Amino acid sequence: MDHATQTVVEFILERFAGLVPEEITKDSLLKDELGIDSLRIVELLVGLEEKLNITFDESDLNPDALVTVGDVSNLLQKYERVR
Amino acid sequence: MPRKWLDFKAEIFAHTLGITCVENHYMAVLIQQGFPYPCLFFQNFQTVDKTIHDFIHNKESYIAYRGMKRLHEIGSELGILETTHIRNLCFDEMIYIFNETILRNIPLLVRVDPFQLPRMVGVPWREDHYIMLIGKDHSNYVILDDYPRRMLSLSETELKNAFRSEVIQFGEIHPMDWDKYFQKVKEYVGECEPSGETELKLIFNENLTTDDLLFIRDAIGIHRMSRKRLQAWGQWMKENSNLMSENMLHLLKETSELTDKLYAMLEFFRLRKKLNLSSLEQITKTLLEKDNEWIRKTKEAIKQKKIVLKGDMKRWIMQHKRLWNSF
Repeated sequence: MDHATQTVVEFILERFAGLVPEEITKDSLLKDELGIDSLRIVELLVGLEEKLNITFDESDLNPDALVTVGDVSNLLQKYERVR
Repeated sequence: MPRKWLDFKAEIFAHTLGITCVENHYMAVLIQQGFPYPCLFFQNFQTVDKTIHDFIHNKESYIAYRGMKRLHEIGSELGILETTHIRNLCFDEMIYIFNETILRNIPLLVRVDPFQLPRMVGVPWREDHYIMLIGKDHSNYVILDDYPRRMLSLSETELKNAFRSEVIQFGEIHPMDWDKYFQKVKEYVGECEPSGETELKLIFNENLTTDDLLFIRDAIGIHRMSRKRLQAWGQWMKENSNLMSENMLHLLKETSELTDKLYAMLEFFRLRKKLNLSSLEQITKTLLEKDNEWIRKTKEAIKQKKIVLKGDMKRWIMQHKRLWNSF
């Protein structure tokens, strides 16, 4: 598992402990498998911002475009490269 | 004891577009029976202005919003599928009712405390939650849950611990009276007016704080759901009648996407505790323009055209489908 995905998975398990399954992969579906709906995806992104001291651009903040854990880690990688 | 339950899958809830669990289950039953369910979504032309007005002045909330009719109320008014709410039941009484209805291949909605259900994923919206009992798997009860979407096999003890004394029974499905339906569509759309932007202008000013964003977000959440429903309705109308054009559908898609964007933006600003008023104003202005244009175009189309059915819809009407699938 790459570093960005590892970060996202660990953060999901930490933030939504007890509410998500413990087996999470890059292909896990945020809504249908993990129960993370649009509002919780926003919560996830804001949490990642605070944890990693980054700021997502408004144009990237589209929960409907983030379907899997991999989509979130790809977004994160984009910002980690810029840093 | 046999393994036997009705043919439902949790994926059905991807199409139901309910605001409440009862709406989701009601639509799931119609979908499972092959009913042209998007026709029920027509009563969603409400403008964002009206929704925000309800949240500010009538203290409405997302999970209990009364500004739009429930889908099962619309279905009942159209004579498609009635429901009966029964309260103050003990567990054995509920099981008796279930055993009776399942013999007729009809599921039963059962009120539960969602926090008592095993293997929770996600957080339920409200405490008065309904799940659908769809059969038995040996001595366990098979249930369908809309949030989170899942099928579960519960032991009698687990079901008893979760049960909260109320059920909703389904009646039989009746064919739609399409003349009555299109008359209702004409009347409803005829009364709708584009947004006046009054409430939004009152809200989106320099006095807006991040604390205010919660109720605005929920109002936009209702609007978001209404536009997704109208997309489903519009697509169905385009495929089955002469009312909707590709251009109108595209406009509705743009409106829906802008609403999604605004919904997420409000939550971002709320959680970040940092507001970008000009972003909100810009997206809202564009959203209102497109939404109003779509409402005007649809009103004009309904006023000018005699709505004519075509294609699969005609064939569906001529068939008399069996009301419920068998096992």
